[in-house]
Amino acid sequence: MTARSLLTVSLVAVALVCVGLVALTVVARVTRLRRARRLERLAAPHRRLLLEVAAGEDDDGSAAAALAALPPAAWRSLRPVAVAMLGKVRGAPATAIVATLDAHGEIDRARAALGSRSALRRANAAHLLGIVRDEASGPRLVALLDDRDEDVRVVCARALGRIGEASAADALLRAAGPRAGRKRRRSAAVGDAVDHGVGPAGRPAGIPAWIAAEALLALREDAADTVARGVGAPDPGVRAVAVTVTTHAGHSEAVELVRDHLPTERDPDVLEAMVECLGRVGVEADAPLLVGLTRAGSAPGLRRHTVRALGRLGGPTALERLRELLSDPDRATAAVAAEALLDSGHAGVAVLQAERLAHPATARAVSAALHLAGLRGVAAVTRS
Amino acid sequence: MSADPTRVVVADDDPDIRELVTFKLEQAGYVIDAVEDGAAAWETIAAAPPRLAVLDVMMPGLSGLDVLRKLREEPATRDVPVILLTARSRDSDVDGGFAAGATDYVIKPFSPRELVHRVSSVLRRP
Repeated sequence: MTARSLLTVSLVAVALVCVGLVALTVVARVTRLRRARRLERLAAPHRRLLLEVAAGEDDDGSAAAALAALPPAAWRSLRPVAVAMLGKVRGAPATAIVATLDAHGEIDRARAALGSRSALRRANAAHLLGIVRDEASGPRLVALLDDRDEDVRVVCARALGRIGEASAADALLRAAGPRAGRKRRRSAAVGDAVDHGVGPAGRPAGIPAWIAAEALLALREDAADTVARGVGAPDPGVRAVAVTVTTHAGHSEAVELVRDHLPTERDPDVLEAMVECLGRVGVEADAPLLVGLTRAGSAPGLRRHTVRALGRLGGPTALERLRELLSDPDRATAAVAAEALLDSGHAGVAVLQAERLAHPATARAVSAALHLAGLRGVAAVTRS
Repeated sequence: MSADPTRVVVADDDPDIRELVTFKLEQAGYVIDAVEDGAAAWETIAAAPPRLAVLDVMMPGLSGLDVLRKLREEPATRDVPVILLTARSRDSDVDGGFAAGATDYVIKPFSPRELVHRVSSVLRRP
């Protein structure tokens, strides 16, 4: 066979493979579409029953009873809509949909599927158990925070947040702790020295910090003690999440611990989270703690972050420090200070106005901030 | 103002929510124009201002907030009450909704019964 005929045969083979792949894709899409339409047709006669239940229009319970008595084939067609509706309504309609799912054995099947070899089935089961708020599944969902599949871990964290049991707080915090290159010790509690980072069989473990924080914020109030303990945990990942949750939940005990730990904190991410926390839920008396981090030796990123936090905190000490920073040699910091003064409201704008008159050298940052104030609608103040 | 005192426009890209809200409000006696995106909501409302609009915030193309801002800019639609129905539950989201001119704000997951109460309460206002 010549080189030319070999090339021709290869090109024909490649073309045939491409045509085959396109045909396969088309067939798969058509099959999926036909299946969806078939399910839709099957569900249509019963959809009104589900709407009545989901809309709270089933006062005598007859629609819920009819849904519970649907034959398996009809129920399978309606199930995806029922699950979708459950995630969107609350109150009595949600309770009635959960009862319908239970009547069709969905909750039992989901509990069993948590042990499935398929990651997709484990994740789907965890999602369902979360939206039905199945408290009995809490311990198994906690165990699956160590699952080998990240998607399963994330779905389990969200499910635990939906269920809301405070007992999951410790596990959620620990799951947020892993950092790369270290080994996990599963039995440790939040307050113990924990090395995280690699799950069973050496796979990366844990859940993203923001997923953990969202789930923790959704837990009931009695999770606050665990979160407060997390502020002082040895693992910086745990500390960062605990401080972030404190910032949004504002638990006073945990805020107090943030104040205590800030002066000795060395991890830059945790320090930024602590600064953010005091800027948002601290009090004027916290200003000296933050002022210390705005000194020239601090890391530039942390320094500017703290300057913004001082603007949110407000009060005489914060405003005075921000005024000083308007003449900072680092022009970016000076500009952030001017914006922070703007963020602190009328008192801050008054400082900017006085500074513009007294120190023309700082005029650039100050004028820009006052111009911004005008755009934001505080023109009356800037003219006064 | 709309000729039909019970006409409400419902805009949500999620067909389940759209169907549910439509069903619930129809059961309560309202006449519903349901649309699936922000552009259709804007066109429907601008063509014939309803008594009230229920808008999802996150929709493809024009978001509910975009529609709301456009409504508030136009003299013919400036006074149409708007209830935002959204999963965005942060304080800043709620503040942003009211700042854009929302009359009320309902967070998903929601109680359909409560939504009807909110609608009737808004419509009772002078």
